[in-house]
Amino acid sequence: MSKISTSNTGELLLAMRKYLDEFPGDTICALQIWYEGLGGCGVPTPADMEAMNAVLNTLEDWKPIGKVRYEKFGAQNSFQRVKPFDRNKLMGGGEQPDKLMVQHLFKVGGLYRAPDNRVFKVVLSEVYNLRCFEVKDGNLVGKMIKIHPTSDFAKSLVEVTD
Amino acid sequence: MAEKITHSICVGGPIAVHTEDGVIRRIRPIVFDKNDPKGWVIKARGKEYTPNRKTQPAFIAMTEKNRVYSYNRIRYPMIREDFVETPDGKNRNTENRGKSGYRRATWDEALDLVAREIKRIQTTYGKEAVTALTSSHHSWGLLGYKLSCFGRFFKMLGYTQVLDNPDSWEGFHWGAPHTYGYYWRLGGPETFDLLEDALQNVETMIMWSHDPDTTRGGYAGNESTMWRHWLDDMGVQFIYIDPFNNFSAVKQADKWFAPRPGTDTALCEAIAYVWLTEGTYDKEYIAKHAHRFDEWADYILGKGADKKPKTPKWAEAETGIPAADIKALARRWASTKTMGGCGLRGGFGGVSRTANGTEFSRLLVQLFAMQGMGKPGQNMWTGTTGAPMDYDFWFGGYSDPLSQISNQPIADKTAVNCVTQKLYRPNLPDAILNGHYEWYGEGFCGGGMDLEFTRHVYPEPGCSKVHMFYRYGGTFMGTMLDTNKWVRMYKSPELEFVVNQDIFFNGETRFADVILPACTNLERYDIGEFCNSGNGGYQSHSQTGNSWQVVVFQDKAIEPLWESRSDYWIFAKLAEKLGWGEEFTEGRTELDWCKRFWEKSDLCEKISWEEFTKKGYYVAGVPEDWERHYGFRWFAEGYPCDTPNHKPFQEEGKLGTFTGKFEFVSESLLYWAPHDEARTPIATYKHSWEGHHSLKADKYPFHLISPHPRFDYHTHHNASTPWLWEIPENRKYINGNPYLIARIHPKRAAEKGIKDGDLVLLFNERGSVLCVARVTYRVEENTIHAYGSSAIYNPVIPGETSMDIGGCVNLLTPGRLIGDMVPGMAPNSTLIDICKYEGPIPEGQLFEHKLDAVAKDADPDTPTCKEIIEGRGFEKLQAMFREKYLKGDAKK
Repeated sequence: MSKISTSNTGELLLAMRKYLDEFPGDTICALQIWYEGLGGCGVPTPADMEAMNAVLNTLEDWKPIGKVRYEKFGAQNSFQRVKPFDRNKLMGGGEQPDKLMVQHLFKVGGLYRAPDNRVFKVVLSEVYNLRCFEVKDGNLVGKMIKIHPTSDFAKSLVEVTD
Repeated sequence: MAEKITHSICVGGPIAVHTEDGVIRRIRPIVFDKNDPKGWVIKARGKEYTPNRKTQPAFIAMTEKNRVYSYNRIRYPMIREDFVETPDGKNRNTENRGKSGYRRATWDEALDLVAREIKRIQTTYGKEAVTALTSSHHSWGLLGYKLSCFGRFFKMLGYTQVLDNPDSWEGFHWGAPHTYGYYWRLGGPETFDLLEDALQNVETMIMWSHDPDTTRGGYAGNESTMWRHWLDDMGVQFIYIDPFNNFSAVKQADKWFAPRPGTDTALCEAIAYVWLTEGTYDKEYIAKHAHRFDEWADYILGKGADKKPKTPKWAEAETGIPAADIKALARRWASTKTMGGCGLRGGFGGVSRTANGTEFSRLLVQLFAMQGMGKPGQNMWTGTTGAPMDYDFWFGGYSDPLSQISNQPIADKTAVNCVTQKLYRPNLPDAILNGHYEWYGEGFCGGGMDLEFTRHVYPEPGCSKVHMFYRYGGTFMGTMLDTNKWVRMYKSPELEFVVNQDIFFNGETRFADVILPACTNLERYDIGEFCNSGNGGYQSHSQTGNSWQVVVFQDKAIEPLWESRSDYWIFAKLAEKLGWGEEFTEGRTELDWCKRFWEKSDLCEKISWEEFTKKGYYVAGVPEDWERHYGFRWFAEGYPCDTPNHKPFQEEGKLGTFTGKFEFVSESLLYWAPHDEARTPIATYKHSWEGHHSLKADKYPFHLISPHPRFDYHTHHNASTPWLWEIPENRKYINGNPYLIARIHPKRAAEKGIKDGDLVLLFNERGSVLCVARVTYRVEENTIHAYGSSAIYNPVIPGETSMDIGGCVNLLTPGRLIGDMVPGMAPNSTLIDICKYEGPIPEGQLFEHKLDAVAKDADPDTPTCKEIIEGRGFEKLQAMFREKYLKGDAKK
């Protein structure tokens, strides 16, 4: 059971809305909302899952994207934000705030395009530096490049999503 | 006489190698020069602490010379004498594997045969009919490591991969993530910068099932020994909990608790009982960071379904530890700043390799959570990792996909295995012998908690069974369980062809049809960082187990001895014979590959290739004002994770559990495995399926514990390093055979009529092993202690499941996995009996004649195995190589 009743649609919608507004990611599933957003204890019943998915289906800023694998939950029916989450918001405006890791603005394994059209793959994210290789014709080439996530160059990078 | 100094790394740490006239004369630690950076300085309690300016390898590293010229080096390619290359793979006298002798072959003959068999088997049955498997650590170096050149060859070939199990820390891998996440660290805690935290704050260290001087922080040699001395000197209390008063405990323990093996979980529950009833836990922390704590507390207090309070008195009956001592332990822990954990890196101890290992691991994490894990001086840290490190310098470790020649960016093209079928290492013999095997779990599940619950079937639907086994380095007789089944597997005609590529004529090597001699890493080029096991779904930043971050150019000290060759050379030649040699090498020599690792890391920014190869090593300094990133501090204080090796949910300040909190009732287990009897949603003490409550205990009343060895590393030193046999606590050389020491309590020894130094037989229904008794109060009364991972396996009837005189106690351990859904091994849940042995003592080790026959055939003057073991032959060998060098190689 959860702290929020899934049979009360209004209450459920409010609780989910609140959680999703603060959720810093772009992809979500009902199971994650159950445990993190609703304080769920135990496995949600099919009715609980149906109720949460029904709410997700009504949200205009989220769209269904089918099954996505989560490292904790395995493959789950998922929803994606229509407009990507502004992670700068979470990080307090993009500058390096106290105790926040600006490197988290970049995804390990993600591809980023520079203004000169070169594409970089983030292969590692240590404490300060993102470590990247340039990608040419699908291959990692050249030397390992360190990019500080607050540098002007980092700010100029745009995630390649297609 | 020309002396040359080169450098290398072995599993015991980095070394400098002195060579004179083509012969290795001396091995020593690397001593830093004035150009190397200053060491870090930790200021704590009015003092300053800084490391010695040298690497501090383990003593096993100092024996590399003995190992290079070992009596059991495989000198030439060999083919089993009675192997018949039948066109259909049948009638090959497979029943004689392990018994038969060998004949010398040329490299071309041996490799042509291997190539022909690979082609025949893959053409007849399919790509998946070939499987291959390495030991955990053949030797050190990014090029020669299993995930590198072995991985590249077999991925390019296409083969049935054998999934490794986390055989050193099963319980933490399969259990702890369900309490605190960290599946991407394979269940181990993060310990960044905790050395400084400990030096400044800790008052009590709980060393549970932990012998750091023996297990050496993994591959970190003796680097952390000094840290624990510092703590000792400042008055920190060390409490050791282990059925064996281990080698670290005897010199350091302020108090030693000896629980009956397999009952540690009951001890955890009783400690929690004391804290709950006395209110001595961090209630504020638990209120904020724990999930379903009250339900768990009810269980501990006897308000749960079993209605049994987990009192110290209750635990006394299980563990044998007096209730008053349990209370004192709990009170000391709660009233002082306490760090600790289980085994090297916090989660590797032998107790995690018991039937109750997952539950113990979960409860141990819960205990640390109850005391505010992550606050200064309160953490999971066992004095072996967490040194300051420059996170701005990166060089890859062996599990980093970025640091393997099978992958980009090191290779131009990534090698991809086209076969999806898999096998599981502990049960490989079951799969081969029964033709069918099913299990859960991907082995190492660093890629996701869900991977623990993946169901596998062998053979995969539509796939062929395996008919060829290519074994590479080490011997599973000493590291897997109930290992007589490996003997039975090798004799099966299902395996039409068996290859073994190894440096030494190990117990398992002797079951192969073709043996390919690899050289040691002192005879080839490689490159590697001290104690860096990488970040590829593994426990990252293991190099913080060192005081120094050292990358070594592993130079060739001498040319490969006899006809041995580097692993890379062997795979490259084999690839050439299979028609894809150029694709395998991409036109690179071994040195070229080494340079790629330099070029694709931060190393190339720090030192030129020429300077690096000339100097032999690079030390990455730690900035004077390095920024701290204390493990778990981010969670305790509620800010996004600032330690390296993070996951997206940590960015939000959450743990990697379903709820993001410490789960005292596991939601992930309720979701994934609600009916799992080995791992219940609340971690509980459960009677072992092989323990003192078992019916079997009437017949076999002793618990055998076989921890990771002090005088070896896996199976890589003891068998090939007779110098180690001179250590009385290790082995006793009798009649040409080094018998393993087995420890027994004086009271029980007297009952059995056993005296110190007697030959004793350890036995149960799975086998029997002949050892030498050490009668000592250092073991718990019901326990027999004998180190596992014996590299020496010498059955008195070679090739049969007979009595072993090599000390291979893994013949006695149960093949049963921890649970139906927990595919972990539990060697420390073994019941045996012991008796004084008064039968005949065999002459020698029972296999040397096979090596001697081939060696003498090639060179009648060469010393025999026994002569080399006993010293005179060792000197003669070195003299022969010196002469050869002066005649030929020196002129070159």
